[in-house]
Amino acid sequence: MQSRVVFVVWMSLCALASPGYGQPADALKKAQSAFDRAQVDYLQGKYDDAARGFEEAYTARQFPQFLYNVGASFHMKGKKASDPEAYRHAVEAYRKYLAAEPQAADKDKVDKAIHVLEDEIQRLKDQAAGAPGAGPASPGTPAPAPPAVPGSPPVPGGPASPGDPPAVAAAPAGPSAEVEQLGDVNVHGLVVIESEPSNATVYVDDKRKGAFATTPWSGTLDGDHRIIIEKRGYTVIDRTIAADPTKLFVLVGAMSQQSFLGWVEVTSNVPGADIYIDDKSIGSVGRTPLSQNIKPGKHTFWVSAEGYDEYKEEVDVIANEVTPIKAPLKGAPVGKVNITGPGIEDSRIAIDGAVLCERGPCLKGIVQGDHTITVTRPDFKPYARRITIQAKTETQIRVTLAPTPSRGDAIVAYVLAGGFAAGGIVLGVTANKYRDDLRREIAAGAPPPDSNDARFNRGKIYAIAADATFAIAGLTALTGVYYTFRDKGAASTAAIDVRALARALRPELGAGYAGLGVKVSF
Amino acid sequence: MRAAFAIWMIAAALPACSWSQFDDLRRQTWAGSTEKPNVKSSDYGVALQRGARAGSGGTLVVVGATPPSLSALAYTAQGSASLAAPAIELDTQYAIGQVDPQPIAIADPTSDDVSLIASSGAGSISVLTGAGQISLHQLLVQPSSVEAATYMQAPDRIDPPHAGEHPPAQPLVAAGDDVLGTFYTSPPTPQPTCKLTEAGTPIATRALGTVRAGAVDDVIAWGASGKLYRYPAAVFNGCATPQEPIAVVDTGFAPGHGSQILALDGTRVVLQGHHDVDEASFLGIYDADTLTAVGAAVALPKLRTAAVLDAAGTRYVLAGYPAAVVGGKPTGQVLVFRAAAQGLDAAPALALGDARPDTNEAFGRAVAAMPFNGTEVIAVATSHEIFVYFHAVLTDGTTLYDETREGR
Repeated sequence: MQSRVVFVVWMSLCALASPGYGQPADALKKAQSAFDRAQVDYLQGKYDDAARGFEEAYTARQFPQFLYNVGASFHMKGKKASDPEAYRHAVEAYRKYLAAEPQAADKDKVDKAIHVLEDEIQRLKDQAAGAPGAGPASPGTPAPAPPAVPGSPPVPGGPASPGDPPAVAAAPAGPSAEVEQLGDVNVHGLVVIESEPSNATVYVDDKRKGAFATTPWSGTLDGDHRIIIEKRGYTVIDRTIAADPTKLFVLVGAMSQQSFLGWVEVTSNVPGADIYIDDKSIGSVGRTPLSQNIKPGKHTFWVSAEGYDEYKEEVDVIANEVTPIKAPLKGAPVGKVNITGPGIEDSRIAIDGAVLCERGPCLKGIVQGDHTITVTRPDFKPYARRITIQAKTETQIRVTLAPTPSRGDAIVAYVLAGGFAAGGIVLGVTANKYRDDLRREIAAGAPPPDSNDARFNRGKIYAIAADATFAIAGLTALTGVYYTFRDKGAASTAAIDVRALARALRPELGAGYAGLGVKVSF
Repeated sequence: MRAAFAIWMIAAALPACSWSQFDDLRRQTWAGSTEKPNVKSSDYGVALQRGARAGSGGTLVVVGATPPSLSALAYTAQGSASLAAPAIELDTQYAIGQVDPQPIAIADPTSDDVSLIASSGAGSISVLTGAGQISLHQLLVQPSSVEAATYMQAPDRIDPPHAGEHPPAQPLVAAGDDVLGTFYTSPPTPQPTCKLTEAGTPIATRALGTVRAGAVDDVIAWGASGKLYRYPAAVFNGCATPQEPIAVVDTGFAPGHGSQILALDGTRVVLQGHHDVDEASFLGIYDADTLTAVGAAVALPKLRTAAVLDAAGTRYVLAGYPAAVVGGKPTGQVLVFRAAAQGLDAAPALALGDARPDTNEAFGRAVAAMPFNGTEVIAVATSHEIFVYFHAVLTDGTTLYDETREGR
């Protein structure tokens, strides 16, 4: 009885309090305290206490997840005791949750639960009305009054009044099959990030992923994350959290003012370009657009993106002033080629005749457009292919180079050609000797050779044989050339796969949800 | 260095690619050679004689042996040769079973006719005369061995009813100790003969020639004793008693069978003599009128035959030495001697031979001066082919005669 009174008073105070994110920090502490207690009660099966705790938390800070947890507590109570009244409270809390979070990720699931529980309420009422042992409840054993749902009219089943209808004397045997199918309900956790002052930029895990949100923020996170909260003129808060989806996690950053810092705002015509400050060797500090504190003084900024010329600017940052850096990057969008394959480590990869990688595997960004990829390896047939590189895609080329076949047949042909040529030369020289002798003897005329001199025919035969041998040598040499350059054996091949590049993880905010998302298109 | 060597080798061999240059060279060579054509005689070219004296090209009469044949090679104006007509098979067509090792084939100085005189059996000598068309004139005589022959302008006939008829130039044949005139038309019967003697002794004629004596030719006979005789033309018509010579001179060389008396010009003759048993020979010029030697004789051994070549008015004697050793091989050669006014030059003006001879090919076994395209050219027989020299340059470099073939 006493607790009920305290609850009503507490609820009244809650109703008087103004809701919203601008409530004092102690309200958040109060909500977290109530949430923690309610979750313990929930786990111990004290569903009424759990419901009251979650309602108390909601009264302190109006996070819709608290309303869901109220519904979950009544849901489990009704399921445990087949209590239609508890089910009714659960349905009521669920409906309020959906009203506060219309785009809730689990909206369908909650709608189904509401429908099942309403049927169960009706079933239990019908069962109670038709039961033979049913009778008015004993005046000395009134049913315990459930806590009031925040924002709802006074609970009819609250403190008993003389005019109340009698309670059901006997509980039904158990929940229906439909209720059983819904299973046990888990409460919703919540991550709350706030800062003092508010409107600070929140980065999750890495500033290079870009801004995640601005404070205050609440939503769901799971696992370990690095939270960076930054605001112009204030110290940076850098914390690592371990978020539990079933618990309320509150991170409140009290940011002290730093009047000696300057503020830079780096933008570019290419979103997501890497930003380097002062020392490129330590890696990029973020991606465009980026705003952050920085020590006053001279700094060098580099902004670069694949396929674009690097932009460099030296600025003089003044404390308490904003230094804008606009990086107009010139270039063209790029795609990536990823060349792999057996033996690729001994292969040279060239694009459009210029060496791309001295050794494979080769993963490079290439300006979009048509390019000729050539993969060469000693003692293997080269692979050449003209491909079209599209921006924001990765063209994977798995090259299988075929061994260069033996050129022994060509060598044999050349040797034969050389032999025939040598024979032709010998025959030709012999024919020339006959010719010269005949010419000399004809000119001398003492005695002149006669027309039937055998040397005429012999010389002619040698000349013809020389010609024939030269012709054979030529044909054999041509055969050798053919053997040298003919494409013998299997050609080098490659499997080409083009896929869209996975874009960087980017923060996504939604109703009841906040996280990192990746958009992939094919 | 290697490339230069390869280029040199290719350059050296490239001319060989034109085998037609050997055809050009064949056309350029002076000597045209003709293998034995389709003639049955296995021993082709045992005697040569000129054919037609004028006209385009030329004709060469060739006598073959084993079996005997008579054929003519017709040379085109460009110098290519072929059989003018199917060869005459003397054994089957004219009963001439064999011919002497040096058959007697003589040319009519007054026409294109050529006569082959050969024994055609016991008591018969056949005289085959003609130029293209052959006429057979048979001389019935004992013995029928043919010793010598010559064309001569005989005196008028004395046999009735042809007495007083003026005959053309006809062959006078020496057989045994007699000489017999060949009468082309209506030969008298029996065959008139005349025994040539000196002091009652037959001279055993080895060669016959003629010398003009007015309208007729007196007979010049070279006896086996070596003496050179002059007999009157009347011996052609026969004589009742042995005929003593008008004049006689001893040449000092006893000629054997196959010796010749060749007309050099109007009064001079060339004596070609050789022994039957040894290689001694005689080649000299005699004045037929006076029977005196003109200059010294050439006594090179192994002479077997001769012919007279008229080269633009200059006479040359073609002397065949078929057994001469040339370059260490007995291949034979032909020596060309200039017949000057004072006699034969002691040294030959030109030596001809086979540039690529076969052993014992008997180059020069027969020689002839063949009229070809209006010029007399040298024709030489070997054991299996006929050479014709369409162009000749003397040893001293002067031209004997220029290229005679057309189109060269």
